[in-house]
Amino acid sequence: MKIHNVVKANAYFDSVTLMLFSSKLNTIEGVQQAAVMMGTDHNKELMKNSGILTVEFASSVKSNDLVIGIKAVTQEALDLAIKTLEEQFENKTKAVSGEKVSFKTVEAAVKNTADLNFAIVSLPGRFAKTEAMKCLKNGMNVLLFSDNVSIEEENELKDYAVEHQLLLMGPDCGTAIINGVALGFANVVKKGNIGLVAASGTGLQEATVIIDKLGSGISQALGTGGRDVKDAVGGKTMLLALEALSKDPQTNVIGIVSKPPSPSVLNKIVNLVSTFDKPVVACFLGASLDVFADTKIIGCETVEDAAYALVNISTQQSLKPGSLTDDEKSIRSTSGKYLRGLYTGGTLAYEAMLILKHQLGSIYSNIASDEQYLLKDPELSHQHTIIDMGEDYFTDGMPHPMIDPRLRSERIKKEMKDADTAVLLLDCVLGYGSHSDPAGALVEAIIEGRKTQTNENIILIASVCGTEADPQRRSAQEEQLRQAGVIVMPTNAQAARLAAYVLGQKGA
Amino acid sequence: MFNIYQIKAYPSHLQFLFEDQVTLRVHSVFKQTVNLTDGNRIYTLQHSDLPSTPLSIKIEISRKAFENLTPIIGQEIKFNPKGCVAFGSVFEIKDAVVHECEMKMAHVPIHAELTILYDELTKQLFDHNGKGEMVKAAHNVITESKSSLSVFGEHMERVINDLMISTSPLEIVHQALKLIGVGEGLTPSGDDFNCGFAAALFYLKGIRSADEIRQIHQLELPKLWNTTTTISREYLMYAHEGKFNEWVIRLFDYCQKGKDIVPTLNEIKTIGHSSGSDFLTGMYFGLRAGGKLT
Repeated sequence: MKIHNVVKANAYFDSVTLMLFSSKLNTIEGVQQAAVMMGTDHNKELMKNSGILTVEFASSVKSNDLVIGIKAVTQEALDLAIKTLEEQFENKTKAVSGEKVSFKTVEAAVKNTADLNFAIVSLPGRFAKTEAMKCLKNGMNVLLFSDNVSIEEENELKDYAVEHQLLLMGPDCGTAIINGVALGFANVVKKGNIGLVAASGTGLQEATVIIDKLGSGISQALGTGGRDVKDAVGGKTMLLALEALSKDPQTNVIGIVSKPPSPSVLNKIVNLVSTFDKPVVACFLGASLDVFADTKIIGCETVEDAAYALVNISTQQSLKPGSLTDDEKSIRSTSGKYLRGLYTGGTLAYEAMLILKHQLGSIYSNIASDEQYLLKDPELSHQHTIIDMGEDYFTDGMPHPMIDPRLRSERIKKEMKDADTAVLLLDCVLGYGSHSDPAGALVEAIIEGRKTQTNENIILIASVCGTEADPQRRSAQEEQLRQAGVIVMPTNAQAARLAAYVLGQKGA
Repeated sequence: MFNIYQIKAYPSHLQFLFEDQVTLRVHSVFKQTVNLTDGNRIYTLQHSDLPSTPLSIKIEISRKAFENLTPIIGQEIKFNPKGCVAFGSVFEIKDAVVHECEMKMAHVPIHAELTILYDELTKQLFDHNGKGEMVKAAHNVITESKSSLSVFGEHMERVINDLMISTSPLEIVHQALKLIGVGEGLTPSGDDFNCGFAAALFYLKGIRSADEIRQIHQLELPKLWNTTTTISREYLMYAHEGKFNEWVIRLFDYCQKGKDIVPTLNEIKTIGHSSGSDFLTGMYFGLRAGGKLT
């Protein structure tokens, strides 16, 4: 008689499964007796007494272990029983763990998967609306990564979403963190009690990264798409997202990061927020803090300020962004005249532009809201210039510079060659979706640039938007930049302030 | 985005989970329940089709949607005064019903009501109306038939036979406890039997013969509950305190009010694979021993 024992430590299978295993084994010809039981003292005793569990084996089995005993008349029967058992376990484990599956259509995914509730749509704009609507109609919240979706289509999608209490994030929404899962361009940050809504991708990234760096964490970070807060859309997703965060028990403080909403949307936000019992901090980049007067919203001028305010409220501290050190204040630009900011993150570029404008006056840009300062040709810098390299002009037919840094690298070399360049201001965005070594790409471009540099003393300033937990690791990226002579500041706002200071000293 | 579900009900002794920041971890995952632990006790998240138990936090969620939650063993679940967030979903507490699991009978059962319950259980065992080896073993004993049994069933049959002929409270309890940790399933049938046995004795509270057995059972049971599985131990611990699931509480309530008990008995039988039937078998022998019924 052949006996075989197997133990599965702390294996919790429901009773029906255990019985199916048992009965499957007992039907094999040549198997005289088989039992699949929890390893309780009495069960072990009974199995030992009936000769299906060896004494030696029994001593290693604990109450929460699953113990299998097979007694067979031949080795062949025993082998077949063991094989059958392994198959049974494998099938069960597969069913429990859930394998990744792929479907060619939304319909097929819906048909074959129960209770789907989230979809990411990343298709060329002209196909995006149809598929996003299918997802919504099947009860899914949608992150719409695609751009080139018309206002009419956006409204149609958002009207349906709002009516059915679903979130339609986007179009052109590249960043979100849902229940700790980073989607699109997002960083690996700690979980916490700060919930964010943003009509801005890198603004959301910068806020989550600073919050993480200050020791706090994120409950949810929701994107709305840039046009959501304009009159044409009316803040549909922004309002729904804020409402969701107000009900989210994991969120204690709510933050908003966006370019200024239209007055009517702002009014709706203010009215909604007035019903919340949670504090709300907002940074409407470029808006006067007067817009927050007589509202419950705590207004901030920069993303950095908003992140600090959120952490301070959440942890009851009074942290403040660092001011320039004496070493930093001693930095002088001895040649060149102008600032050249080359950004991969649109909101980071905009934040820098606002900070620099206070100090330097006019800043020319391809994203300037004032027509007067809008660059006629984005390829050519003019006086103090900040370029958003992720803007449509540069990404038409090209990957976004956060993914493929080649275009910015070329522009870095070009600006370094320009004798007028005094300060080069850069961002370096880490996280999922971004280039695997953005600092490495920057350093390479800087080394190349130095070969043709006409101005001997260009000041290079950068900030790294990322965390230690990001795949690229913040400290390693910062170190590469420092080794290449780049001054690395803790945040984009502080990098912009240092650039403003250096150029301000020059003027003085 | 996250789904928001309502917590439908939880027992009053689990109120502490929602009074402060409490962190539990996923202990084990089944189709219809997710067990959580604080390292010591077990708490169960379950969908609303299942009866409330002393372990359970019942969620207003369909069975299908529950099956699609994505718990990972060891994952942290944080509770707070507003509910909890788990598996990509928010579970709100605001309209939850807080219920009692403790069996508190309005009066000491009178013979007539006791007989109705006992007769119905006897009929079911005679008809072999139930699942699993325990019912089969009990059926063999009370009908003196010889259905073939597994090695575990044979043990149950011997114990039940000895229990039936025992007269002293100590011997009766001694026999019942021989079933702890015996049998099929995650909650071994013998444990479910002992929970049912205890339920009957709590129902019979005030009847001297039953009180004697109950007190000995309460004294002896803790010595053995560490020999069975963690989840089963949890049910035994609550049974020891006189806490049972809502269908069991309702069954005894209906007995006292003279209502039809058959639908509730049938509901209890649907619990687990054979757990409900094992429980009712234990209840039958508890009533028989404690109520001195034959």
